Amino acid sequence: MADGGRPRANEAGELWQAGQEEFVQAHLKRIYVLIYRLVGNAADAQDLTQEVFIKALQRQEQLRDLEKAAHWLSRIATNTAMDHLRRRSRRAESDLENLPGPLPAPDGESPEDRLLRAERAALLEEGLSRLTPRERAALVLRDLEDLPAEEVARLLNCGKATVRSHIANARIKFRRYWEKRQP
Amino acid sequence: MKKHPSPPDLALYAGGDLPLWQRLPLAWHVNRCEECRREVELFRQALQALHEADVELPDPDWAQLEAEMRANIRLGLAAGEAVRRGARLEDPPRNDWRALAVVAASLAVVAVVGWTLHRPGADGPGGAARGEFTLQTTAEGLSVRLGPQDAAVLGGGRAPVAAAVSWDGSVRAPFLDEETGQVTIYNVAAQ
Repeated sequence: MADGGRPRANEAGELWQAGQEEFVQAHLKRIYVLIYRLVGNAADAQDLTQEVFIKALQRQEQLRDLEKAAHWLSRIATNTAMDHLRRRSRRAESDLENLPGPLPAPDGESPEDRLLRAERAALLEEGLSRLTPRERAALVLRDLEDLPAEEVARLLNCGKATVRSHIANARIKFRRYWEKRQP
Repeated sequence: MKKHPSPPDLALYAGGDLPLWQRLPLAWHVNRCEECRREVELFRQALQALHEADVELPDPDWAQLEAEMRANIRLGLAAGEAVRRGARLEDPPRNDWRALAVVAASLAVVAVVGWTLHRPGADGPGGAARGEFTLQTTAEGLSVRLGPQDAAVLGGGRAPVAAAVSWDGSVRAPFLDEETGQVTIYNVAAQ
């Protein structure tokens, strides 16, 4: 342990290596949900979550402070998901792979509940699919993850003014889409 | 605030994302403007719909999904480590000495040729007297000599900008006419 009571980079790395399993367990669900919200597809979310943890654990020497592990992981997850969205947006829209895969249905869910859930998921995904990857990430992180705009700016590696512009544009586009669906 | 706020400002205001110095005048305007108040309300309803549409993860299968992902992560890490280890084993020894040897040999050849072309006495009166053909860059220009006589002085009165001696013994010298800016290049080769 360093003199100041905080672990140094190599000490943090060793501690973390020893507790990789605990680290994965502590953050897996949060990162999976974040990525699912960003990409809107359960199968992609699973693949990307695994990719994020493999990247993170392979680059653990970059982690300088254990307390910042959660933020660092969120940043890798956001970047990985945005890269995926950019690749996906370059592919043809008719590609069957692009269709959002529904989340696995809970046991005992009634057909009505399942239908309602599917409709809501479709609303969310359709609305979000009209946004650019950065707008989508800004909206998800700000309005679904409830992160402050400053934190969203840090995660997206841009300034506060830029992130506010992404958030505003995303809200305007999503509102337009939502209004068209109103009876 | 006399003008209506822009849609981006209203969208940010609806979500509480405007800084204080922008929020206060906008709030004052919205309180007095029916149209803008309605706009803000629509943004808030859309955000509410977004929240409602956000699907919570169904937990029943989470344990299975988690176990599958953790197994895949372990596998991915092990595979990455194996690839790195394999790459280290297959990494051939560095052959920097070969590159250095090639560079050194090239420099030696250039030095020998340069010395041969410009060796002391080769272009002096004695050399010319022996009937050798010599090329020389002088202050007067490019001198071409055969035996005791000067065959020609090219670019007379003007020093060459740069003279280059090539492998085959030829001399290339460009001359710049300062008045006209014209460049004349002489390329003389001995045969």
